[in-house]
Amino acid sequence: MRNRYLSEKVAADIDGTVAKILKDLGNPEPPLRLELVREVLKLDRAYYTVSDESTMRELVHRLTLAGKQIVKRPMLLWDAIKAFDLKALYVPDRKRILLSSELPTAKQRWNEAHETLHSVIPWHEYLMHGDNEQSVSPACHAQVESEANFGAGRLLFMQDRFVEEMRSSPLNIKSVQKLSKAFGNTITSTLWRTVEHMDVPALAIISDHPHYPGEAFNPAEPLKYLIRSRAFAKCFGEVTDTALFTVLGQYCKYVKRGPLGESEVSVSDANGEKHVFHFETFNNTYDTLTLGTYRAKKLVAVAMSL
Amino acid sequence: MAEMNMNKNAEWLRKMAKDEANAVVSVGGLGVELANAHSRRQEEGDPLNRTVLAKLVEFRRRSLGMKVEQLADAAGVEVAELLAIESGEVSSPEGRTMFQLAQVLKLPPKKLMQLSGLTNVRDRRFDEAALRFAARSKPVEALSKEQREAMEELVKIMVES
Repeated sequence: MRNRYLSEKVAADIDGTVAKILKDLGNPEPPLRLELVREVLKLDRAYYTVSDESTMRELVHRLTLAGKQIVKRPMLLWDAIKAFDLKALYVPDRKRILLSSELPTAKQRWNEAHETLHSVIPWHEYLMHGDNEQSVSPACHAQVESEANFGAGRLLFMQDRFVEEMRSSPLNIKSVQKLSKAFGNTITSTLWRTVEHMDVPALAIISDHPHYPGEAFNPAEPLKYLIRSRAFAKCFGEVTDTALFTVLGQYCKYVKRGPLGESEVSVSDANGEKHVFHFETFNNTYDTLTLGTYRAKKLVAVAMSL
Repeated sequence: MAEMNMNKNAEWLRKMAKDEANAVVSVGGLGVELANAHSRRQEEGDPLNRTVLAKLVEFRRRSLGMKVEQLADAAGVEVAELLAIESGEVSSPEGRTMFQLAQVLKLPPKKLMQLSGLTNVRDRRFDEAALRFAARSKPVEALSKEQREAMEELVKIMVES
């Protein structure tokens, strides 16, 4: 899956909403405390779990009491949960955010911010699931999710505060880790924001370990996310996920966690001209993260080619 | 009770054409367009709704005495985007655009979202009130209709917990 950029007007509207929240909080120092955001927006937060059998039995029991036809086929509920891969919810009528208690704490922070944005982006009110008069089209769902993600990033990374710090730091994984700690966000989301704010060609790859892929790994779609800076998307749009994953396998070490390696990589632009990028890869237990930053137009032979 | 007279004579048509700066007078045009759109529905999604949306936005804009540029400015949308909507060329406008136009034109946002194809009208299978929610999940197309309804019931129970 590749990151997408919103139109300027949509981004500006969402940014304005985030600015108002931060202003209402007195433009605090990072990391942003989400309990204060909930207080300002009068939002309620709760947790749910659907992974253990006793919880499911309880849910089915309650659906039976409510006389729902679904309980005649309880497996349908299991299938739906698995297919939907529900991580978090926002219920506007109750102003309540529900988070999956099965997610790691750091990821819950991102999901809470994402749901918070659903509560403040005005047009999302009319694009909710569960409405018995209308259903949201798949394309619209994807757009709405992108908008909430953009806003969550701008909120958790406190708008230009992050951009300023990122632009005055070296562009490497160590800096990403440092910024991740300063803003209290995951390394993955920090890496994502870093690349999106870069003016030069750059990319981030979120993937399985090239030597120890997980059970759900699909060789046909080897990357979980490919985040491209605007300049990269414009000039290097032809680069494939498979080629990128193959390169990771060529320089990454056979260690499971921590730094996996780095290398100079040659990438062809849309005109077929070769450019050199510096790739650096790290594994944080959950994912393998790669940062690729632009070096120069290729003048000399390099170790690997895409 | 007053009745709308739809049998316009030639003089009336000439007058309307002059008022519209000699543009093509579209008496009956909407009906023809709707009929044509209906015949194309199966192969191109739902252009019928796009045509209705186009005419509705244009009609309301003119009713409010606004030029395209004025409406675009008031709603904070691009002129080109508004022109595309009014000519029925936009197949997937942004939710923000529809929301902003609804605010300025004083139209129900939910209806504009439906006409624009952002949402689809559903069969009413349940009589009870719906519980709306935004979900951080896989795309909705991953679910069958039955699964989607099961998920919606599950969410209701979770919220009440």
